[in-house]
Amino acid sequence: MLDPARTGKLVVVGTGITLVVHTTLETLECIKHADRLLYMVTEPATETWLRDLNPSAETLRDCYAPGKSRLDSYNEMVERMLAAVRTGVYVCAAFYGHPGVFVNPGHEAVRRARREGFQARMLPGISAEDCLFADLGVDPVDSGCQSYEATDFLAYKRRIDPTSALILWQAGVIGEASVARRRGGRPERLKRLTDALRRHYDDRHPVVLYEAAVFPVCKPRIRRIPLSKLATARIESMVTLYIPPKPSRDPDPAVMRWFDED
Amino acid sequence: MSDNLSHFLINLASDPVRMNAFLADPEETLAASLLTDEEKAAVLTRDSARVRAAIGLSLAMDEPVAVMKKRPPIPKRRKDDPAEPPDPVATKQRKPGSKKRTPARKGGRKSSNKK
Repeated sequence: MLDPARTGKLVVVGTGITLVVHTTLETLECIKHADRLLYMVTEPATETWLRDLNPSAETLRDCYAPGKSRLDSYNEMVERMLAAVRTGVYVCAAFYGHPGVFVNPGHEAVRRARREGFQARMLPGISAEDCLFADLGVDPVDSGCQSYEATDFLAYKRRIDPTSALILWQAGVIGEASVARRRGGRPERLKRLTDALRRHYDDRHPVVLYEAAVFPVCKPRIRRIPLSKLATARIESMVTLYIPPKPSRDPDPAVMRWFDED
Repeated sequence: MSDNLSHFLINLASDPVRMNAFLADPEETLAASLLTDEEKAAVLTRDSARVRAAIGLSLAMDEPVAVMKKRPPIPKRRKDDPAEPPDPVATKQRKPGSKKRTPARKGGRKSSNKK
């Protein structure tokens, strides 16, 4: 519950994927006017921009360390955000992409700040998935869309409907618990992923390897390969897999007749 | 890290007129800039990875800010279990009379092959 005596405030925002142009006006105002700006972004140019906008800017990057688990890193990020809020000032925490999509510390910081009686909210941002829909020209509502983190997809044996689109995030870092300077996914893990997909799709089914443009002068990277080539493909950590849907089943005639009712 | 290239990109992105000029004639915009030849070449590729490399070493870059919320418990395996248990959805029903593999299947779960 909000405690009026607690003057600290937290707003968690996303800078989007592409430098500058993906940041909403609402987010820009928060970044500029916060007493303290904490950030975790992927590009040095974005970092430069944030520092230009708000001289108080302070990176959360040092929460990462080789050998340190990502969960420990995220917990430390949450602690850093809350420690700043507890000093009674207006804190803005900026993450790349959407701050609530694949950003565990964003949601957790908002939850904990509210629990402690502080005003806290999250603003939406443009995620890699938003970019994917635009760049690949697909509408997720056309036949439905399933979205999983690749390790989660394998570990929990997620049940999918192949007649809906499938998006798999982070296929290049399957099962990587810590910061690793690995380039490209491990072939044996990609093979495991390929085998899981083969239960639903044939070898010729297309897989799109997608990477959004992070600079406004750049183009997105889009590679289309058959499923049979996935296990040997070079997949960087920022690549997202898009697997188009198989043809839909016939619609239920009873439901379709509803359109004819008055 | 190249602050020069970073600021070039930030200025372009912040000014639609300059951005349109770049898109219309990238070479001319780059010729009027203070970028090094290497930086100009990287920008001309229009490839994020090449531009990122020209800016310099990333920060926590390449590290996605996402992870499974918790590591799933590793289920206990019996000696006669295969190395990788079959997908309960995608595989066919077990043959009649075959042994149950895991306690999770107790209770006579119905076939999930129905669509």
